[in-house]
Amino acid sequence: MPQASETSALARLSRVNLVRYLPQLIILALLGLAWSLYGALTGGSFLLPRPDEVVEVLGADFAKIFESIGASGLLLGLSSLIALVLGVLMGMLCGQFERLKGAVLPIARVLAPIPSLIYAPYAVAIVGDFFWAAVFVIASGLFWPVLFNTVNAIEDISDELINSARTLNLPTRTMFAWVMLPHCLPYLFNTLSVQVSNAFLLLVGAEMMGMRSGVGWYVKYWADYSNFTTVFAGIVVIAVIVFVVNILLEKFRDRVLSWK
Amino acid sequence: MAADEAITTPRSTGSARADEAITTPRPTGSARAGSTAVFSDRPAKIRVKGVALSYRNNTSSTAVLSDLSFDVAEGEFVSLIGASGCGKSTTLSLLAGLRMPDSGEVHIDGVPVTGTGKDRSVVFQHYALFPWMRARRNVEFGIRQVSDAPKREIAAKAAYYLKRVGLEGKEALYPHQLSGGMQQRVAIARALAMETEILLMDEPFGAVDAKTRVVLQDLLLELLQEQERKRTVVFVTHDIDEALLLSDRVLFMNAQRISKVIEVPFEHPKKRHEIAQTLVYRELRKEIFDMFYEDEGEYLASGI
Ligand SMILES: Nc1ncnc2c1ncn2[C@@H]1O[C@H](COP(=O)(O)OP(=O)(O)O)[C@@H](O)[C@H]1O
Ligand SMILES: [Mg+2]
Repeated sequence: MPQASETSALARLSRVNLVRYLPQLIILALLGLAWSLYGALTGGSFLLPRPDEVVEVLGADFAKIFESIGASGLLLGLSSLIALVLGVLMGMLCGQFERLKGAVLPIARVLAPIPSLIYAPYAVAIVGDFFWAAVFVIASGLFWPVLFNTVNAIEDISDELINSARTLNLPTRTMFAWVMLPHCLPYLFNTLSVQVSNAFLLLVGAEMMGMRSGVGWYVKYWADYSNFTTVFAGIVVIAVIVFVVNILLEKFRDRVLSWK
Repeated sequence: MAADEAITTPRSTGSARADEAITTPRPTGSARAGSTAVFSDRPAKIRVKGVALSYRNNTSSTAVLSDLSFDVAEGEFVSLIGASGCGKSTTLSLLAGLRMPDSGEVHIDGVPVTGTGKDRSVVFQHYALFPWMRARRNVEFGIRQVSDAPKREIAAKAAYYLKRVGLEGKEALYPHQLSGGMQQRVAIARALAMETEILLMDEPFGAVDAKTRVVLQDLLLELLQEQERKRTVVFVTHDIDEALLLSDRVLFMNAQRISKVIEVPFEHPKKRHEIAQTLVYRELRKEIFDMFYEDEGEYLASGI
């Protein structure tokens, strides 16, 4: 594009972003508009408050909401990290040892579809700590897709690339860190972006089972008091977080996978 | 394709003169005599003796090599040429240590090959580079596997070789940002920068366009020529001109073994235009060309 080359890189970047996110922004704006119209016309109701009421709650309860976002971030981040590390490790081992793969995959296919929230009571009973029980529930929900996609990725490595690596006499550690792992990264980013919604379902579910903080807990807590204005504020917060996480993930992927 | 190109050569040369051009003993009828003819009198850097190999799967077994024997002297450039599917790549993978023979011996410096080794570097036709590393990193990564030199030295060596293959200014690009020819330049830079005694190349220019191929052939000749210590090179190709230009000896593969050894008598530095004009060149070219046709009788019969 001839005009684009004249503008600064920064301007070009933000324009690209604007174009990329324009449809989403339009939909959000339309939703906001519809909600405002509803508020103006009906004056709001017990179950569905007006937007200005919700905004007021967001402002008034800012500290608690902020703390909840932090708690949820910690829980989700830690669980995802554990699921990623264990899933990738296990997947690579399966890729390396056919026998292990033959043993693990059939079991994994049976276990994977079971919603991990079912394990919650057992996790609490065994671990005895709500936070780590929640970590267990979320991580075990994310572990399976990571495992399957890693196994899939390893199966996809071309023989040529493997041979090229072998002729360089790479030590096993280098082989994993600089050949297998980078090869798996695009698959893992795909997995993550597909699993974001699943992760939030798990997060909210796990927090509702007995945590004392977090956005899921916040919504559940105020729902128990039938304070739906605050419940709605919590839902808005969750929506915004999901939106931001998706964008950050996309940015991070573009950065890490600049070699694609 | 080599075969298509070869059709344009004059085919009128007499067989008596062709015989004079060949300095190696002709293979005789028996396999035993045929396989002894492939050893040169110089001390062998690489020695392959009586190698047999079959590819097996659950249902069948396909013999690819049987009684394959040849050797390569230190500092020698040897081409393996033959019809596609005759086992050239398989042979190279034996030398690389990527595969083990069912029977027979593969020796380097008199020691049996048991796997890949730091004394060998390999250039493949495709996917030799790691897509997630910039050109510079790909070369440095190769050097680091064979050298304990400090980072700065490795970086300098990588930069030097990338410059020598004509990629100055492209060091920071990823493989997908480079053309096929440029990617092969990086692969060659890496293989040379590793400064291994042995260089194994499997149709390294097979996937680049004709013009780039000529440039890369000349570049390879030049780079190998200027090395302090001459590398031992085994080069797989199906291009007759490429084999004649680059090699000291050409090994023709057919029927799962080396069926013919051809000494290439040209002195270094070789200039493609000069050698191509000589009678010897045309004789050798015709001889190899005819061997391709013997191989593909049905191809000849079809009148293409
Ligand atoms: N991994 C493999 N499994 C089974 N057969 C193979 C394999 N690799 C090569 N072959 C077969 O072995 C023969 C020789 O292959 P190759 O060494 O690649 O030949 P070339 O490099 O001369 O074209 C071919 O017939 C090919 O189909
Ligand atoms: Mg081949």
